[in-house]
Amino acid sequence: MLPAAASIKKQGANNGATTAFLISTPESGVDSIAITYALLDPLMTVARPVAAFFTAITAGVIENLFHSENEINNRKMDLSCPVDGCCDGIGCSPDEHKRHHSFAEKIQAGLRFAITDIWGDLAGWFFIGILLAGLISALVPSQFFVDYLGGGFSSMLIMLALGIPLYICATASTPIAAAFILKGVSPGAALVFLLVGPATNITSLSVLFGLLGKRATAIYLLTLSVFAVLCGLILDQLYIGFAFSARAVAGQAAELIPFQGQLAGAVILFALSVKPVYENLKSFFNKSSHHHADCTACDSQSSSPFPIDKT
Amino acid sequence: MNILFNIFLQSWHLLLEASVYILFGILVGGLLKIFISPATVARHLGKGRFTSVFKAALFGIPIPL
Repeated sequence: MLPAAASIKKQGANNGATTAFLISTPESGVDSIAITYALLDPLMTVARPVAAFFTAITAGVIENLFHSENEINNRKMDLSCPVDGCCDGIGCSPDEHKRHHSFAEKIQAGLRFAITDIWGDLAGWFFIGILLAGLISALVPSQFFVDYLGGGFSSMLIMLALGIPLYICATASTPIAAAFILKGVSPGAALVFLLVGPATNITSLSVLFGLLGKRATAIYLLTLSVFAVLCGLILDQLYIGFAFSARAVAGQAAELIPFQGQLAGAVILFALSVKPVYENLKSFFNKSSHHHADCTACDSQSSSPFPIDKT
Repeated sequence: MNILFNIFLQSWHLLLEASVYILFGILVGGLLKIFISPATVARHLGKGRFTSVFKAALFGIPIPL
């Protein structure tokens, strides 16, 4: 995630645009939108990207307001071909390059990217998310969260405190939020978790500090927290206003798909996951044995067992 | 043992519910990456104090990461 932000900064984006991108990218994506629709409900599906969008704009605009002048960016852009890197984008113009690849080749490259890069980064996290959600569903009594996380300002603050240090990507956090909601967490409090969990963790904040500086990191964290709480409170009111019960409708979209289709989907997902999960586990165990061998004080990365940040 | 089985059963239900949607999501994400050229993104994010922020926020919404 952060290397992607570093690369858009390198490609000439200003600090505000980088900040905005750093918020809206992890908080929402086509994959997390799809899974939210599957496991939660249409209102939440819309609320997540909308909240992410406004948080991102606000943080970016505040950041740029502090810049008296637009810094002139003449950094080199990476314009190389996204299909197969056949040219670097400097020697050949985009118009000329349009003819390099057929439509079918592009579709194929897109598929390959979806499977190896997107799902490759996601698979390990996704299964952790699914297992945690299963744990919550199976072990937590059904009314357990109602008193503390059933809505209101304090619910939002508790979720904020849980979400800021935790790192879990937008897609993997969705089944956990679904389990929370089924155990009585208000949809607004779940939204706080869905917004803040993916956008912040201790490691990413320290990298952000290096990339954009102290002030930008403070703006990032503050805007994110204030907006998450605000959006959570508004969302709870919307559910009440529409007389819409998140607990009752969670996961209804999945019923549109016949069982055979779901099963086939699950089998395909498993098949696609073998390689990335195996590699994740291998690098995780290599890293942890390496840690024990010659490094005593670098546990700062222990919160993210999988190399999700590599893209 | 029963508890463990129950945990896996719950996870399995969530996996079934999510599977087709996940496949759809990563597929669209992959196609976005290929069909949106980096030159376009870079051109939009470089200029303007506020429009660049607006566009960066908008671009970031569908991108899966």
